[in-house]
Amino acid sequence: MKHANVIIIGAGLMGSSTALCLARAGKRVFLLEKESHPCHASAVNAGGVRQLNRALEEVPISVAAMALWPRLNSMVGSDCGFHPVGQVRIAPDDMGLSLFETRIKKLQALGFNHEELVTSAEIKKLIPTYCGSNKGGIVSRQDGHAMPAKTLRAFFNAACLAGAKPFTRCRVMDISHGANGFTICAEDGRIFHSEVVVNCAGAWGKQLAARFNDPLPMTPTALSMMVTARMPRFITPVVGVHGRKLSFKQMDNGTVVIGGAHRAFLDMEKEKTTIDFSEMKKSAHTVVKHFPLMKQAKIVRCWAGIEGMMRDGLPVIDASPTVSGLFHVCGFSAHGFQLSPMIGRLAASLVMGKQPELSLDAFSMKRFQ
Amino acid sequence: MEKFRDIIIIGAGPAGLSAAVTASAHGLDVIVLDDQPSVGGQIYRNIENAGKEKIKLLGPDYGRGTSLVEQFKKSRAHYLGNAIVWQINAQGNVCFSKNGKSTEINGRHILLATGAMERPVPFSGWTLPGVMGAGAVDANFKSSSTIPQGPVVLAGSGPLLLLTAAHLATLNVKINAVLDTTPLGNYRTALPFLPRALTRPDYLLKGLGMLLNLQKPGGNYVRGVTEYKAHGSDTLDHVSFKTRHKTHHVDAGVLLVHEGIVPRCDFTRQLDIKHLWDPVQRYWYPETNALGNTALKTVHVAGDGAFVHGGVSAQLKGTLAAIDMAGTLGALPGNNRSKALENFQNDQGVKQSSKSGALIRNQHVNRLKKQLNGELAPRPFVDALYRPRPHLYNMDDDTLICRCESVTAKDIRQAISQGCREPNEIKTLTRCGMGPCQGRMCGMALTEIIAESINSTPCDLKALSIRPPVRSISLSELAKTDLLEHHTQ
Repeated sequence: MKHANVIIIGAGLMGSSTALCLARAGKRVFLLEKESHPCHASAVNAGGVRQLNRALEEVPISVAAMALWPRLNSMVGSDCGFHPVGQVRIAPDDMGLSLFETRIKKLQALGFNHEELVTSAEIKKLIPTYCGSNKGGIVSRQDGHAMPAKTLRAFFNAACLAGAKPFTRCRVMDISHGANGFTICAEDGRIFHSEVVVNCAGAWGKQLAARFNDPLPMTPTALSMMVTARMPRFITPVVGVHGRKLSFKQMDNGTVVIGGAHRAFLDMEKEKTTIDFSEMKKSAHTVVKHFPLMKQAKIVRCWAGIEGMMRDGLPVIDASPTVSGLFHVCGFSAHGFQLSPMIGRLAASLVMGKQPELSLDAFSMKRFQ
Repeated sequence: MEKFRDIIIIGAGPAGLSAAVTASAHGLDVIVLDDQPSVGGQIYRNIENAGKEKIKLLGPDYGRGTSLVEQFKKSRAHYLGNAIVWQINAQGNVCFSKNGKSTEINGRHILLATGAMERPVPFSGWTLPGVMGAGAVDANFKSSSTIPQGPVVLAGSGPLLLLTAAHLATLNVKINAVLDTTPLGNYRTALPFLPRALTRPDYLLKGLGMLLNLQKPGGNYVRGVTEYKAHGSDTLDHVSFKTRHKTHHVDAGVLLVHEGIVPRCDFTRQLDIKHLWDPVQRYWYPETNALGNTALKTVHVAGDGAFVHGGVSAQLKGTLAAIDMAGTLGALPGNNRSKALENFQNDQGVKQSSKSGALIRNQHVNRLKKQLNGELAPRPFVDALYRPRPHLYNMDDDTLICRCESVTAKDIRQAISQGCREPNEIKTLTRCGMGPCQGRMCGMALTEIIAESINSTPCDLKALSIRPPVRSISLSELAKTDLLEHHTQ
């Protein structure tokens, strides 16, 4: 039987980031991963590093995380492919614009100035190739994009280097809590023991929480993306349009990554996604309409990641109300990537019984009661 | 166009054509989709337009296609050339692009007859203009009678290398060298399979004839080559190669390489069908039963795409698959469609007419299986003899592995040293296999490099995922794709 202070289930970005902070604080940490290597949503997301247009509850964490992104090299030994090219969100109509105006006022009242309201002329200047309707928009100039797989590997390796012990191909079959803490039995018979368990299982977080009768209102969802062959550079910032299922960015190498929360078919039992081409057709239609120069762009690849979407779109970062020593850090609802460098710090404080540097009230389990 | 068919066949090579002939003779509604402008696949490429002279030159292995194509033309099967299939699923939906327009159709069954391709093996200098696959020369000659401008050097291992050398010699192309990399030890390890192979002396004599022809004075045939590299600044200038401990140089305008043939698995991978690893020929192939059915009841695989056995076997495998599909669909030979279905529906297997039909079918299947077995007799010997040489993928660090994304062997080895073990992870980290070819060219090398670095075999690693679309299409074409109305979220 192997013994740790903390066992983290799920070696994705949240798990690796949390493991890194706990291991650096001197805890004996095991990082359990059901796959052969850390992957899933952490590795195949769109790579947006975005403060722009986040739920207000997430803004303080997002802003703190943003300060870490340019310094990841000293933190995890890799720049994670971060490019601060800015993010833009366009208002295609007056209603969208007035929503943005209200948002900026609220942010300013809270003391945040990273997002700015811009005119339609400024949007045109930022994205000359955009041909959709344009009434102005909001911009966050520090934002950008990074490489998810590179980021994930960097955090995972940094956690291991700090002393966290990784166990891959280690699917949790049974987990129980008794007087001496937690006992975990893996699919291949390995047994682990710890005082604390952190649920960083992403889209599988709901299943894990359910074993302890902690119901999480989460729906595992497959979100798809398309990428084109290389194109001459035509756009710098990451772009989204209010009210349209459109989000895209041109990477350094010229390929264009197209997102927009289009769903794929998901077989959670087989843990397999299948691209739904009727959704991809809609996505292609939207892109071509807003960016006619993309008409002849060749789609090279479509893929989907499995993500845990919470009913209210906010993650859970809290101690379990039913089992002491159990913590849930999951349900990031397709926008956890940018937060991840900060989540590790906050979750580690929570686990060690220290006051987190930022309030986690909005992400508590209480809100579901 | 009718969008709902009994059977959709992908690929118009020997397996696809023979399956189409048999299935339509059972009264089934069949459509064959193929990306070439005319039927024949790789082996019988462009045979409809080949004159007598070309057929004579390429010999009976090519000429055999004439009668098959005639049968196909006489059959009631439908055919769409220049149709590029880019997406299929287990429900029988197939999306293809033709003349810049994409359409989705549905088949109650799908037959994948997509054949094989030359094993892509990167080596130092392989991206220089003038370096190409021996199969490409074969294809060019068949479709447009183009002949490489010499001097030519051929390098690698396998029957197709010898065949290409023989054809070029007949066409009076100047051959500076034929560099055979077949390990000399293979002649010994293949020996136990020789007795069975001797039951088909026709095949053995053909091979022996090619070998002896090459060994004539002036054939410039070199055995026991362990490594070759292409050199040149802008285009190919010369080839260097090693025998034992000596390095040699030979001038070359064209270098034709061939390292064997492997099944094309993109569609079977996309369908998530289980693949098996052949340790002798070192390739993946989809798991099927003796009649080509996969674990998916609605999907069959026939021809070299199921396992590389050559053209004659492919034709037999196609017929077998068609009979099996016809059985599942309740169609009997010679019957028209409605009568076949009637027979099937009226009775659950007891009625006299279908009982005798089943009996006839079983006899036919057994006859075909026996014939196929005879064709396969020399294969274990040939496969062992032309087993890929050890360290085939032990290339220099600066060798380009992924041409689309400019990823070198060094980049891959660096990712391995960071702890990565899975091809899919190294793909996302290095972009190896992320270009327009979707890893068709580099996937095998990527996997073999990892396996070699960690002292493992590719069968212990997860294969590179194939992401749809299997062939790229433009955004505007996707936006206008004529999809069937079956999609639900």
